Amino acid sequence: MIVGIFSMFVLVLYTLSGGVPTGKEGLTTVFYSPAFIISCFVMCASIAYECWIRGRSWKRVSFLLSHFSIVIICIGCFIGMFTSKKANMMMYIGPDFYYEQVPFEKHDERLNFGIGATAFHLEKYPMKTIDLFVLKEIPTPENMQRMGHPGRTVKDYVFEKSFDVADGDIEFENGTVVKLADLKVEGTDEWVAQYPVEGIGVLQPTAQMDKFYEVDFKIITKGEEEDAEDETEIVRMEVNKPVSHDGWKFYLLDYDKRDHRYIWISARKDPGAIFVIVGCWLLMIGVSLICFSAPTLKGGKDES
Amino acid sequence: MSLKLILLISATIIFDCIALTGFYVSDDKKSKLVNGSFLLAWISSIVLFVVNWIDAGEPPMGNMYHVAVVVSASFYPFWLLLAKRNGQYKLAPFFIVAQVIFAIGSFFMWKDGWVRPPVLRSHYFIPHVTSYMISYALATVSFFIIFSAVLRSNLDKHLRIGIHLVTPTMLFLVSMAYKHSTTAIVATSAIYTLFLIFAFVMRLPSLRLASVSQFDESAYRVTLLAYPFLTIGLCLGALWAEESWGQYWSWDLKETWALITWLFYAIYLHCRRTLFFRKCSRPVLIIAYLALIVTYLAVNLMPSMASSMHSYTK
Repeated sequence: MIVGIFSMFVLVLYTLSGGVPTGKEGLTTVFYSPAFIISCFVMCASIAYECWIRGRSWKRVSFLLSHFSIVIICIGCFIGMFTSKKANMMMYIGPDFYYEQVPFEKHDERLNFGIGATAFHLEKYPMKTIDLFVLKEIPTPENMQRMGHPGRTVKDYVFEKSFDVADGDIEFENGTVVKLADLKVEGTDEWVAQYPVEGIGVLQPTAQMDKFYEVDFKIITKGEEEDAEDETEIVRMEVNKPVSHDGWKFYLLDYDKRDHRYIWISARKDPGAIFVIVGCWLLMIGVSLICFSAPTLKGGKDES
Repeated sequence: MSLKLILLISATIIFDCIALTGFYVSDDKKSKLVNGSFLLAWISSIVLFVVNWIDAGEPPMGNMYHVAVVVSASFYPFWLLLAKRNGQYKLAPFFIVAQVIFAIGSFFMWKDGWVRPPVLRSHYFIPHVTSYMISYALATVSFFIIFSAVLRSNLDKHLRIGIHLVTPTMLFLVSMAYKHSTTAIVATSAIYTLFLIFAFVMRLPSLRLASVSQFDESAYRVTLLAYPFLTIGLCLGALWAEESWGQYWSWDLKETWALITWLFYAIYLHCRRTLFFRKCSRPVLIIAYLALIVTYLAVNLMPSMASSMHSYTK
């Protein structure tokens, strides 16, 4: 156990050095360094040894589960580190587009099937407020003054106030009324980006947040024989619902916010992921069993 | 902040203060005044949680205000569990003080108009956040108990002076160095207020005679209860990331600090079980809680969080 605690200390020190915000490259340097991997290996070896010595009994199943699951997770991580393939790619939406290759850093990986996105569905939260920006003279920022910017004031649009959409049409103090319908793009239900109000300022509907989006994801499997027809399957792909096919998993990451012409997906093939998933469930069960059934927690004496 | 939210948070704080005063009025550990007030404080925080749910139209666990309310609502049931199962009635002041702090914290964390982004629409969302918040609540209590042990212990005299003087001074200087004078004043005052509250709690009749080893034992029990929830939160987070982004671990700042926290608590539990390391267990638990604070608060406030995968938790 002492070796295990020492190796955990070392791991914590490494993780701490990687936990300092120095950017993604700093993290990669620490967490993919041989020293970090060796410390993980030492910890796994000490856990495996302890499991072999102390866990060979059904009575110690919670000990075995809570400890050996960490070894399973580490095995999964190592398999993933050396064999996984992962790429993010842009995919145009439409029935005519389909892709047979996934771009990786060094080379394109050819898939045994084709993929594509046929349709995109988006739902947004309703607009809540509309902001009013007014042209005002404001003092030049200090840093600009130091840089020798002429004058002590600049003219810029400054936020004045917000109007609640639920209150209906916007009425200004000088009697000007702006109808909510005027703030929408003609013939659509979408809001305009900005709307100038003469003598007052500019109205700007606040950004509508995405509520939900999904794509119809197309998988084209080629027939085994030369003259066989391709099989096309269309499945729904959402943000938290990836699509699996032939060992590959495809995740919906993002979409073209402006015109909805393309989506961003992540393609991944990781044989180690299953070890990590199983290891995580075993760890949760094992730790819950070992802690909740501890004699100390049951009201008995500490057994150490 | 709307009036109903202010009233509900204030009710939680007032009932908690009545419960704490009840310890002075009555030496009976099962005092009706204490139990009743603590129960009412819990009901107030549950009502606040329900109001947040109605306002947001979604499970309210998306920003720091929401999670502070969830943490605040987690204390009473676990104290009841420990009290009934282990007879740990004397721990009530620690649970109450922790609830007060999170209730006050929710005032400062309040943010209007949270909407649930698509990435949070997952069946992992509620169990992941809930288990983390329960673990944070229990870890706070275990920290308070071990902190009391440090304050009570004569052996740690230098450490005690260090905690009283160096911590707030360092915090003040660091905040001033980053030109956050308001943060410096608020944080330093908060730390000194915490010390005052602890001085008050430690003079309560039920705790005045408690020995350092009793505090250690209680902190261990509470941590044993907290650790499974911390593990469940971490693992569900990894499973969720696998389902959502296609990578169970991305060494994101929040993830890295969550792992650091989990490792520190694992070290603490192992230290408690080995004679060789047992003396180290107390400082390890304190450091573990500091790591938890970094995970919960500091990481979210860092500028680099803007590009983080967890930036929606702000």
